[in-house]
Amino acid sequence: MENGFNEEDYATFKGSGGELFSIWIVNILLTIVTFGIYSAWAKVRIRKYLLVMTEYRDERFDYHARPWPILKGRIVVLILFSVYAGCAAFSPYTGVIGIILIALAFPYLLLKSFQFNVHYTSYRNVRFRLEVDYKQEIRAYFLRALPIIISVGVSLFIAPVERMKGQELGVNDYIALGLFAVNALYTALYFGPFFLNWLYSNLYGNLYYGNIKFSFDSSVKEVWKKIVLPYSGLVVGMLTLLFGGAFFGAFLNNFLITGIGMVLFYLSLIAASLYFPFLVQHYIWNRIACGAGRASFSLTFGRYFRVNFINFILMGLTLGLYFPFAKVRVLKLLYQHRALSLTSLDDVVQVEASSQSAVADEVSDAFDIDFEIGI
Amino acid sequence: MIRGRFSTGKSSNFVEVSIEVKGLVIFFFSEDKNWQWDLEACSVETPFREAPLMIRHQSGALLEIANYDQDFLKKTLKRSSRLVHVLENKKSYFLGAFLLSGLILYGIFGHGLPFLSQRISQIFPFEYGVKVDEHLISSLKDQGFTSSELSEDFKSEVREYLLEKSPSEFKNVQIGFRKMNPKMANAFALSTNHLFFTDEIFKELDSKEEVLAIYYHELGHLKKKHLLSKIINGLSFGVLSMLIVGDLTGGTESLATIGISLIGLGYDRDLEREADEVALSLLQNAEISPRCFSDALGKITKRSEELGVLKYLSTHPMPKERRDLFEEHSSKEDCPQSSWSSRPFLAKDKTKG
Repeated sequence: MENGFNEEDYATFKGSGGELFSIWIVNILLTIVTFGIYSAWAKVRIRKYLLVMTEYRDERFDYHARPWPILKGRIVVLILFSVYAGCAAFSPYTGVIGIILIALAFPYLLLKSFQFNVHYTSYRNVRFRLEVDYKQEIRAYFLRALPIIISVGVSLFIAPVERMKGQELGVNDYIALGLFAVNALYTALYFGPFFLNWLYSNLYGNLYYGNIKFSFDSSVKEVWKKIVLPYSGLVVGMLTLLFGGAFFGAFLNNFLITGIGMVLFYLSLIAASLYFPFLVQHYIWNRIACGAGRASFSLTFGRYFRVNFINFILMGLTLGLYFPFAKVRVLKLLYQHRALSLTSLDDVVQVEASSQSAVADEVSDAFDIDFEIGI
Repeated sequence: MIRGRFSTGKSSNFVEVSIEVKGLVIFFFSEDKNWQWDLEACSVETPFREAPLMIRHQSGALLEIANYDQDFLKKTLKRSSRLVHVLENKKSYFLGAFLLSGLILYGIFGHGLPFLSQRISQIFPFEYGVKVDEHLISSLKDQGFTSSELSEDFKSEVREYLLEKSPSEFKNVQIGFRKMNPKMANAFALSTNHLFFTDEIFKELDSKEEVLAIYYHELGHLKKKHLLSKIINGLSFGVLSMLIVGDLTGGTESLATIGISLIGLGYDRDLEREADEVALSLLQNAEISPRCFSDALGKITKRSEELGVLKYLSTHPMPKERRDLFEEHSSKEDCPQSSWSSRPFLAKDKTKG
């Protein structure tokens, strides 16, 4: 065990890829024969398996969401999207309005979705919960997003995209492009790190286990230093490989150098897709605390990359059938390197929270937003 | 006696209990207390292989049973949950489920949806089909098609010749011409009454008969309303695959979607084969050698053959397979080589691309 943590500070995953595979295949079969209706039950069953098989101090987590509300949430989302798609087919403006509405609701949906999953997760039959002051947090979000909203609005007004097609650029178009560049700079330098800090602080700083509150020590500056900067470094490195390889290959007229440059570029593309979630895990697990206890994340990126890369290759070779085994391998790896030291968890008192709607969770699912709780 | 642990749901503490089921009531006792629950008021979740059975009361209390047996499961689990338990845990049932899933998926995506799409496209109202075509024509520019550079005389001559050779049901077909970027010899049919040739096709094909053979292939697409059925099939594919593989995550979802898309490409190839069959029959009725299609195809697909497009990743059957069908039905004589009387391009001479 590392950094002064004991064996009991690490969670373990007791499940197996084979068992997850059988659950997954049965889910697919039942989803097909019920024309998709079982998909809500399937979703609960997979989430439940991943949590029930997670043990911390010889006790299991559990997932309580009921499939019926999820199914209803799915139907609501399906209707909303059908109405939106139908309207957008007749009037492009409806489509734009739909996108704006979704963009406006995005921060709320994000928090609500996480709250849904937290609310239905328990450990030792005591629920987790998330207490967010939505009014204050959404206001804080939009205050920072306001410059982007205004400049995008102005850009669209003075230089509609339709008008720009196939025409020479005018003064308005250059102003719009300038605003776009300023926007990109503002997002990269401030809004991006602010958003990540806002999100993680809300998710982990407002998290409760029964009557015990988690704390999360984070700031925009720290997000910038620990996530944005290293990730930008990797992206710049990737682009250097791409253009460097292409340039030298073309300059020397050497196919081998161009080829090596391309292979390195694709490898770094996979690395980039893994590096961000890795940095986030690292950031969260070195800053979250519960009462007097502390947490730690000791996994190296090299190890994380190796395991995921092999998984990626095996999933490709098996057309995705290796997925459950890959999922379990990654979970076991993460649990081996995430520690949380706590004082006694006896006598933790259950605190009632209001029930949660599954609609936000389903909308966020439609955008492929997923969260993970558990040790 | 079955042993387990009980939590009231008010705190994180559990007490050890002994458990017994009588009818629809579950009784459990600790050293100093006993409880009884009506099973109707509980949710009994299908247990996972290495995990305890969990019986949750509507009050939030929980009974965890690690050493349950099959008889206990029979008494407590609902029939639907028992089915899930058996499917997940019995190897032979699981293998059956695995094979059945594969078969059903193949049946739905490979045969069911294409069949339904074709049926729906056949009863699709003509006036709505025209609207779809109008929308598609207006969006051709965004797809890289620009105005044709062919001379008006040439376009009229082509239209006149093709319509004269059309079967009676296609005398009102609208024939259009476009320049395709990047340059490519191609022809395509829309959903009901429009078909287009790209300028490049007239650089590649030498004779009127070769153009006619390609025209007949496109008429095959119009006759069978292939574009409509492709649109309907594509939409249903999207919705169904989202329902079936949508709960997977990231890369796996993409990989599973690739598998389903490959089945979709198989459908595209079937439609091309069907259009080829119509072309063959029209050429035979018009007493023109089927070799004209074979020759035309050879010229148009020369580039893709050089690139060696993979069979299963292509929207069309392999050119050789298609040419073989027409060669089989051709006699020894070559395709006639009638020339157009007007010149296709005004500004510059015909140059082989």
